[in-house]
Amino acid sequence: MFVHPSRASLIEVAGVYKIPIHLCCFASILGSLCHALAHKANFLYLILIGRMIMGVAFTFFMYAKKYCSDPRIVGIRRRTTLAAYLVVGQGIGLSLGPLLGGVLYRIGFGPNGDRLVFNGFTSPGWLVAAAWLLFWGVVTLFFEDVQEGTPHDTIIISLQRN
Amino acid sequence: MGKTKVRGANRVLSDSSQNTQFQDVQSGRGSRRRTRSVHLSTELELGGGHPRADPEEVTVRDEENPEFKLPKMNSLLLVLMTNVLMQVISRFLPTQWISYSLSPKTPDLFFHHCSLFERVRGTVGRRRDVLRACHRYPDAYLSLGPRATLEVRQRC
Repeated sequence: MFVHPSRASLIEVAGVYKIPIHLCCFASILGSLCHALAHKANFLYLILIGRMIMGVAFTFFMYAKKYCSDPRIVGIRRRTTLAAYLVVGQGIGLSLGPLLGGVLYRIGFGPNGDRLVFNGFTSPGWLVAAAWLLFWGVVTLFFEDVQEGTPHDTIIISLQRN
Repeated sequence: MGKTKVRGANRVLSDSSQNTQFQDVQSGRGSRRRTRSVHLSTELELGGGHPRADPEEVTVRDEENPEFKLPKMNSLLLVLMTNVLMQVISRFLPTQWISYSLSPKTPDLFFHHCSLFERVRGTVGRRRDVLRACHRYPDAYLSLGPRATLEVRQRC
């Protein structure tokens, strides 16, 4: 197996999970804003475009699973526990999403609410965008990537030498 | 590996000392010399300590054993939270466009687009087809005459 030196150095500089999680936050915010602006812009395809942008963010589903089973940071006897946490989180999100969507639709539209920026249609998009923005700040402050000097890095360096 | 052996040895010692204390309490008498002999005999009988004998030892083993290692708690929580948030938005925002397509408050232009969305979703219905045709060809709809338009309205 050959790893290009530039790719290896990119991995060393950027880490393995930091760039994906930042990309996930960015794409989620952008997609949510597209959802929120579709009604005001009178262009419903913004919802479709927003959903496509969110598809980029959803790539982090794979990274989350990889993070919880990465042998560099997770012991073999902890994998099942973390996988269980992932599944519990999915269940919570799965039931919380439609519930919140239904509750926020009840914000209503007011007397001439169809033209309002924040109404029953657009409120989920705005709120989710705000939540992701907040979460992005927390991620920037507190997320620590896999440390250097792990076996993975050693493998890359040895491959570079070969 | 060296560390593991040392830990194992400590564990055996602590386990056996616990057993010694137990025996001493049971017998109600005991001396340092007797304790030592019990140490050896217990060790020989058990062939090493029971791993569950001392909870502190077990905890130490859990933290240091690579099989039980965990990532930084902050990072782990953030990854789990990201997973939850992504699940929320993957189920949350579709309710928005479903409400767009089903709500009577939806403007006509939106209904036209939403009917296309509904068609993409594969839920074809007579009512939506008629309405879509009416929106797409309003002149043809009006040329049907008042009776036909009334019929269409009643069907919708």
